[in-house]
Amino acid sequence: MTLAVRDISISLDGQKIVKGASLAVSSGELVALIGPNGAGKSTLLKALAGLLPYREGAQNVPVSASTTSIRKAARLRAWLGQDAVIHWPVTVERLVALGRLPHLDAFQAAPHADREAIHQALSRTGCLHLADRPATHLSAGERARVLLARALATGAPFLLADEPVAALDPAHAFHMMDLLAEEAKAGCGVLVVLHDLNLAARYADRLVLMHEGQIIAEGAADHVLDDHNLARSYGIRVARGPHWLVPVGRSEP
Amino acid sequence: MMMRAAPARLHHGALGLFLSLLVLVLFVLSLFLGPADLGLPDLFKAIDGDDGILQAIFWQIRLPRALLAVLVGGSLGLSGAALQGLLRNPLAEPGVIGVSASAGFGAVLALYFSAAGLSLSVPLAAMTGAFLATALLLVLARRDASVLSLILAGVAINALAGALTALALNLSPNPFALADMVHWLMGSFADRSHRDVMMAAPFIIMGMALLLLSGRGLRGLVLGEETAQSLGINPARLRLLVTLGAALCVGAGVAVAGAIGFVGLVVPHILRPWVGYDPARLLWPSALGGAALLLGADSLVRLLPGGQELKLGVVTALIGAPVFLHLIWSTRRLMR
Repeated sequence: MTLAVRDISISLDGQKIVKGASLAVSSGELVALIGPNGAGKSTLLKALAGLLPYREGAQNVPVSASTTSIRKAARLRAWLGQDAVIHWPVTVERLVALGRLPHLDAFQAAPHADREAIHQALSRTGCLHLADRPATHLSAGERARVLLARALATGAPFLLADEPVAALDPAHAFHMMDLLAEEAKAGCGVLVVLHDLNLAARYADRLVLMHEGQIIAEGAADHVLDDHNLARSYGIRVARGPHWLVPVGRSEP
Repeated sequence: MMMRAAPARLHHGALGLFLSLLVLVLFVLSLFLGPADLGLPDLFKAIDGDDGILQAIFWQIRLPRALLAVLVGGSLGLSGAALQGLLRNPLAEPGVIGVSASAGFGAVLALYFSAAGLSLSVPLAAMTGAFLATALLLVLARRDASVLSLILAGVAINALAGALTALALNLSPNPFALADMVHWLMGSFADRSHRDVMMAAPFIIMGMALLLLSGRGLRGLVLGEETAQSLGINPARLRLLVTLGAALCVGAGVAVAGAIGFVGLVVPHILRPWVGYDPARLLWPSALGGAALLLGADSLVRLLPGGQELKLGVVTALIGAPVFLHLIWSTRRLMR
């Protein structure tokens, strides 16, 4: 199964954010979407999640956010937004249960299958012990895992995560990436926006580099993260080792 | 959010059962309260129907009053809970954000232009006022959903509705009509008839039905609008549902009972910890709690000694305003 957009453009408030980008994620692969701030990564991710209308192809055919049933689309892909706000101090278990909303009818209480999915999501993310805690009173690491559990509870074949490790220390970031890699291994198509190039190189099966609304490189880490691409997109020079790279300064314009 | 320890979660339904019983008890109690001292035997006599005066007191005076308390209280409690869920803000309440005042202006305008007194045009105008105010608030709150901007928008809408109402009253050609309107705006269930009940009930029931449908969407909004959308909730449809529902409830309520504030603030605030802060499970209990609160408060104003009966709206404001202040204090961290 593949989730894909082809040659799409997105304008927000009259500004063109994505300019003819194509992106596909297949079941079982972990794809990292990288690029400097403002490159259009989050916007492209939202389009894939069906949250934004976009235009497609050379003819600029408009595609509304919900071409199919909005509920059906929600079962196909789980979206984990950047710094999501939790508005009420509901328990962690109730929060994770929100992931089952696409499966529920309006008048239906959570049946057995939902309980199982919620339990699974909590246990896979190591959050079982948090189940009865208020979701607003968690550390950043716990919070990130709980929000991931919420997304996993949907049981969607595709997971789209926007900077899930942004607020995490290295150990928690590794933990989060391990969890995403496990999901991919289990058959989920995972697309994740990352700022940490080392994490992207280490975990992703494929890297997609975005710059000024366009995808300028795609493929294995060695190829995508070469000096030329990094200078062009991020405007940086890097020092390299066998499995790492460190930015050492801005590249000359 | 509020830092209080959540009470032990009740079994699903226990809270609803308790509140239903409370409403029932207060409803029966309220039938026995009034200037004429009547007891249980008198109620049976009224039902049997051989005493004309007793019958009139129960069926024409007491029953409409109690029914209105249930309908208006229930719809206000529910409107508060739904609006708070939609705006993800414990301070969103029809009175606080200017929806009641706008409904009041609509009603005054209709009264001003209609010679016949209370007619269907009054609730219709009140509902239109409530709808416009809610819609305006949503537009303002969309740009920036912080507590502060919501309250400021509410202050502005309240001020505008108040100014327009004052203008209408100011230009009123008849001083007696003026006094009537001012009294009515204070909010009361006294001297209401079956006609008032019949006029408001269809709109209130319709509005409550719409609001009760919003639970699933409000639950999704716990994680914000975009995540809700990714979970299959249509935010635009949800906004319309709650706006329409609240406008029907508040408009129809204000048209027959005047402005009764703070019910939608106090009731969900008290009940929220008991439903685990779940905005969907808060809806039914808030409706029942609102009905209980207004039945109780309306009984209280009849029990208080003194010649002049206190207006219900005055009582709820006296209870509600301090709670409002407390809420502002406890949510001040959210104010940016």
